[in-house]
Amino acid sequence: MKGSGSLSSLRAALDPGRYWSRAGEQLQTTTSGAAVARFGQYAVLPLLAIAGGLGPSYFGIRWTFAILVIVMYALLRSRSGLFGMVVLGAMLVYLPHQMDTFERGIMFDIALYALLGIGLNVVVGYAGLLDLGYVAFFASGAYLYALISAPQFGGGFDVGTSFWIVLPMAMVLAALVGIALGVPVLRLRGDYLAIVTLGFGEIIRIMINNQDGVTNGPVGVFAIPKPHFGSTELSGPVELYFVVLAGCFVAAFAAERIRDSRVGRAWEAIREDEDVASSMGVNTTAYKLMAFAIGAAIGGGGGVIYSAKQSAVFPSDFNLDVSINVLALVIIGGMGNVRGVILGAMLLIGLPEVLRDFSINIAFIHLDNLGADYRLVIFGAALVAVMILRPEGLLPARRRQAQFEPADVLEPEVAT
Amino acid sequence: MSGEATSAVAPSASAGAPSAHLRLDGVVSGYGQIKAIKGISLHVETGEVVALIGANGAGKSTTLRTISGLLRPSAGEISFEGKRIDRVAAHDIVRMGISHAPEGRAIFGRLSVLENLRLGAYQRNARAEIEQDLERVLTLFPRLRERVKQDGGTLSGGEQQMLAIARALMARPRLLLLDEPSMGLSPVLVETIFRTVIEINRAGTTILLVEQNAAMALQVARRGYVLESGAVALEASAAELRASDLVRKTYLGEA
Amino acid sequence: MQEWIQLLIDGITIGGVYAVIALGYTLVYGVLRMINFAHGELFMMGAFTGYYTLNGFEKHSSLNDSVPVLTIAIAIVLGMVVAVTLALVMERIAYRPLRRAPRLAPLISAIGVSILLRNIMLRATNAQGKVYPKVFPRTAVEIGEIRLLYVQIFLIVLSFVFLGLLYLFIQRTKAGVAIRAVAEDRDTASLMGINVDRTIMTTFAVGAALAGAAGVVYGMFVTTATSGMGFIPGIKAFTAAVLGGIGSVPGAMAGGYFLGISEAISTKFFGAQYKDVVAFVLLVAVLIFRPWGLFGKREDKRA
Ligand SMILES: Nc1ncnc2c1ncn2[C@@H]1O[C@H](COP(=O)(O)OP(=O)(O)OP(=O)(O)O)[C@@H](O)[C@H]1O
Ligand SMILES: [Mg+2]
Repeated sequence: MKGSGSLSSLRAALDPGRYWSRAGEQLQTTTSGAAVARFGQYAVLPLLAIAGGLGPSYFGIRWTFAILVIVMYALLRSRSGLFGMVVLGAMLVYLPHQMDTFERGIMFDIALYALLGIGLNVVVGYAGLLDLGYVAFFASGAYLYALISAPQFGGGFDVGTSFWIVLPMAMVLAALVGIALGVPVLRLRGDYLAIVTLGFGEIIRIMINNQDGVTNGPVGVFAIPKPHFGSTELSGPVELYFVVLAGCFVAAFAAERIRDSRVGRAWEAIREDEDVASSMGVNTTAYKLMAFAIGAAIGGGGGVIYSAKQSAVFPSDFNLDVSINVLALVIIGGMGNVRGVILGAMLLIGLPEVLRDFSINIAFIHLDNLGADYRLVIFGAALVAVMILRPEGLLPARRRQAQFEPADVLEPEVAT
Repeated sequence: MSGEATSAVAPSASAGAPSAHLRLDGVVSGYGQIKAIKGISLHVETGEVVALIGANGAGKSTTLRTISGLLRPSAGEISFEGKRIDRVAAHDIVRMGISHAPEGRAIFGRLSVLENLRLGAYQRNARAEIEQDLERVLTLFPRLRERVKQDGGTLSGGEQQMLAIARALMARPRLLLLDEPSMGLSPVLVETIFRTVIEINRAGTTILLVEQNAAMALQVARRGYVLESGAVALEASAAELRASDLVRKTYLGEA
Repeated sequence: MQEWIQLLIDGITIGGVYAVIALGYTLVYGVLRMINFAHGELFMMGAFTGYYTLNGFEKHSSLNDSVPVLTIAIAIVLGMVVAVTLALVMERIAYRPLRRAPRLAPLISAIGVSILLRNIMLRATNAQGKVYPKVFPRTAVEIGEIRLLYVQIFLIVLSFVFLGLLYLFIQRTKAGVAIRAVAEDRDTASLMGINVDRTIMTTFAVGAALAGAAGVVYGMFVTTATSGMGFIPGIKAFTAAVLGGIGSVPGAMAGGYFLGISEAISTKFFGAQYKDVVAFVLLVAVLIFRPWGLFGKREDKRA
């Protein structure tokens, strides 16, 4: 296994699983000292980022993005977790300063979806519960903030501070919604769970759409105030981007800590084989609800930030596409792995935007505005391609390649 | 579709062709990384009943699954009536004349007994012959005749075992692979099943029989192999095996 | 009373569509234990094929007026052909390589196919719905207060015919028994000499043919084809399949009508905008209280 330095690093790039399994063992030793060190990874990032000056300001978004993705991919696949995260963090913090408003909007979207992905990953990646209705939690957070703070509902309370109060409230609310939706589906597995959660997501959207008296229906909620931080209004995409980015770091840190704890091991047992887990004394009900609640809370928090960023929300913002996008980025990135989620968000959310005004003109093929017009066509094809070429995702979690075999589907009844 | 190049070999010569009927040569097979059989060589001659005995997990079922094409060997050769079959798809091997009644019966519980039996003849087309064979197996197992309309899943364990054997016969095999036909049956039924096995063999079908019940198997079989941890530990005539220390201690439960 | 009969008729109309589409879900789920998320898009492609065919006849001939039976039959057959071709291609490219992949992979791949087809049609039509030419008189048979469009009668009858044919196919033909055998136990089926790959393809083809035909007839009924039209009926049809006990052919049929009628009746009480909620609530309730379906027998999970 040991070769010359460059050869082994090449191997590492080609075969992440082998390295992750080692790195994973090291990280498994979750003493409090290690925990501090790991929190350090996330905390020092902003400082290092501001100090580090690798801003390719003159490249333009497309090249910047391409470089970013390539560097990210290499770093995330290599063994150097800390170094990779630091460089990544530096770029994520520094780059937006070099961008225009449109590009900053893209960065915001990427970060927001990464946040949602981290939340959904808890449910799907850690606990193995396939949820296609994640948008429900996102929507409940967004509407909670909108309804409390927008002037059309009496102005709410002090708009300057409401954001920071609503944020935890929304997370608690979403967690409760998560538990409420989780209880009835506890017995369902696999594909059935997917369809039922999809149904829940749609029900919530239809309710928001039809309960005009409460939510203003399809007309939506407007003039949602921006949050304040001290006396500064966080109004631009960069400021809110940093709010999401901070959210990502906190959520990622928390999620990984929980995964490495007793709870995480219980989730793993449930994911592997629920029946075995419960026969070994794991309280599957409690742990499954916990996964739903944590995932939902993160989604709800994301919703609040989204609401604040958009200034207006409509029921149509919360359709199934959101759930599918988030699930797709989690799975394409590599399930059960926060690094994979980040990569997935960059590829799935960032790439189509970057390709928006890209055109192809070869011989008689003229596809203008490839990104704008065909991005979803490409997105669909990419989902298929990635599944065929790398069904475990681009950055599979450690020790996880051979998992979730098709064991937990209900036995169908055949033509009786 | 791939890997079926050697499909559709017409059942030319009838039972009674000379030379080794079935031959395994250094066959290695298993599940993913797990090698459950590690280089098995054995042969079955036309008209014989050959027993394959061994402890739980020795690799008996894996051997049968590899012969019938459910598993693809990672090394070694398998030939049947002189033709290589180790790269042939399972559904084409049936067509070539090998029928496998798998462990645990594996009947289709939601299909009627009659549908189960007709599925046994799935790859055959001659209607009249199929009806004739249906009549034949129902005569062999009269209990099935009373239950042809019933769902397979509603049969008792013994009846399911009869159905599994009858269904395998419906393919008109020249080689029948039986995996633990006595499993879970009462002593009386075991007796019946083994008598039927002898009958089937007399009617011209070669049989490779996997059994836990070594005593029974060695009464029926002419020769036998003892499998241990995926390899052949012993090969001899049934009489010799019955007399050997290894078999007496381990499989016949004698002191 | 008449109002109730009207609701019942409306329910049977849409229920027939659900039932026909549901069969595709139930058959494919039976053999692959996989929800073919793109199945609704086959229905949508059928509807577009129907539009292009009938529109072609309208533009270049007067056959729609002189022999509408012929043009409609051609449209339905072409709708089936297109849907079957697409289904076979998607099975081969997007699903078959994933037979042994992690459980979620085929589902994501199917979601990808669904997005792909929907957006190809969105581009191809410039996001404009396509309005069918009038092959059926848009007049109704009126009995008292009950109104029945001619196309509605056609749809109801055709659903029955397709369901009957499919039932016979599954119960009586060799291929039908092979599908049921593969659904129950793939390995043992191959020991019977059944070519499992080919049987799975047959299953996709049969389901797609039904969806394609349903798309054409439904397109004539609602008079427009849009790229998003397969989605909601697809989910509803899946719900119908679950209501009837997934994997069960008669169950899917019964589930389709049950769902259609429940929806129609619910509009009387909650209004049309809650019809989808009713469907989903039904789905959730059934999965929680009777996961083996409303009409199926309880089966003990085998070890
Ligand atoms: N599907 C499978 N996946 C992985 N390993 C398997 C599988 N089936 C069998 N094995 C392993 O292969 C080995 C041989 O199994 P096999 O079923 O051939 O044994 P056997 O001799 O038939 O035993 P028994 O008398 O209990 O039926 C065993 O160690 C078993 O654990
Ligand atoms: Mg065995």
